[in-house]
Amino acid sequence: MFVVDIVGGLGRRARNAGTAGVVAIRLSGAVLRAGVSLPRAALGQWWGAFARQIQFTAWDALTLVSVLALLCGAIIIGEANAQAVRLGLADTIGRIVVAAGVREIAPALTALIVAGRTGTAIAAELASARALGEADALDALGVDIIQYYVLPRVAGVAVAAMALTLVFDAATLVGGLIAVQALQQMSMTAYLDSVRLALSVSDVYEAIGRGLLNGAGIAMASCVSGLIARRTATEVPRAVSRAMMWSSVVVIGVSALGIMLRVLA
Amino acid sequence: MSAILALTDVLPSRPNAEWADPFTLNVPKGTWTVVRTTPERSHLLARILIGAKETASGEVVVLGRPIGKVSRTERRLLLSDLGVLLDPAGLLSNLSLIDNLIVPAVFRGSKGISLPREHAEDVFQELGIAEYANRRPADVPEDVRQIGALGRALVGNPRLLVLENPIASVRSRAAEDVWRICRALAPTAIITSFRRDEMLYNVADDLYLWDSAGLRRAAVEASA
Repeated sequence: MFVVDIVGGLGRRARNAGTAGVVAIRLSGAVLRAGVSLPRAALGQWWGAFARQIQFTAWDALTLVSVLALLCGAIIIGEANAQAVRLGLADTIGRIVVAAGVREIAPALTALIVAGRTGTAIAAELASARALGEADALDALGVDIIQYYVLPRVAGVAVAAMALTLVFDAATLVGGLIAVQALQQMSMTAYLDSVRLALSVSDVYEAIGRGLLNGAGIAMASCVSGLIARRTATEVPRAVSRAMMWSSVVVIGVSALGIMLRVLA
Repeated sequence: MSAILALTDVLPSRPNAEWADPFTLNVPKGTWTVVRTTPERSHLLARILIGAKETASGEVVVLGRPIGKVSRTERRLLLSDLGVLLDPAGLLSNLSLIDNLIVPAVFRGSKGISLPREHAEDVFQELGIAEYANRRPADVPEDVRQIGALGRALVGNPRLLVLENPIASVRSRAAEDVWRICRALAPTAIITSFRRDEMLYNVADDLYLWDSAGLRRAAVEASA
């Protein structure tokens, strides 16, 4: 019986994961359709919500992300430098910063910051809208909830997460440069040459792609988490917690997808 | 008179002790119909009328379309011809009262409104709450909030008003004026309520009482 329970449990989890995947695909389609059918008269309102979302997600978090990225670059250099010098591989420092910082840590850490700041805020806002009857009232008036609530948030967070990822990338490289200078192990020119050799245009495209995917995924997970909340105030913290959990899954999934695509390429 | 809203043998999708028998009601064009019942039935009935709750059996035809069977897009189009006020009213807390009228009208692409702001201002003017137009719902008295929510249902010249427990906090004298204005702006309405409301009965054409004995027509004057 114990084995049957375990297998049954695994089956249920697989089915739930499959259902979640189907829901994610259907929701993506619904968001795209909502974008296409947005009434012209609503464009002004929509742009306002989109711009506010970018401001909250990217502009308001810029200092935090920049400081974290500088520290991140410095820590990578600090750790890699000790090992590289010991192994006589000091010229690979730039490659290490690009491989670890730019390709992996920057998109994932930026996405987690976005999930923690913006995703939770979206989930709390939409769960409150459900609890107060605002979402039901809009639906009753014939307003498309996806157009009003989901679309500007998904588009805004996707663009903001992409911009923040690029900022994080740049600040990580600057942090690395500062650390190299502080440790006096390498000249600025040698560090920059090393980074330039390791960095390619595809890294920029990847950062843009992962930023967009992470942002859209986090926003969608957070919107769904808020909008499926039941109409009680106690559902708000549950929605926030659920949004953070789902967003983490999105971030790890996008990271895994990035690695897979790189290996295949 | 042709029915603008017709419910035939309707039962809610989930078994409900209060709503155990099929419900049938017609609302003719140009009439105001009030159904006074329990809070639970009132809540369910209002949502079934707008296709927000499913039915187990029967049919709900709104403006000639079976609202429970149409696609999501068709339902939205149908709802854009209605004026709906549910309980709770659900005014958007981050918008001013007047934006609560304009934004939904703009997003549903309301027909017949070329200038939503001017139209919303006219509605507020008529309802006597123009001075509160730029305040947020939390910053106005409860009665003004309720009239504002009713105003939101009136924007877009709805062919049918569906109201659930409207303006319960509005003083009798003011309520009489509000109902008179509503009646002029929306010729056909169905109002579900669990509260006794003499002012509302005064403007209604038909009053139904729906209790454990079933649905029965009551004389408007006698109930008032």
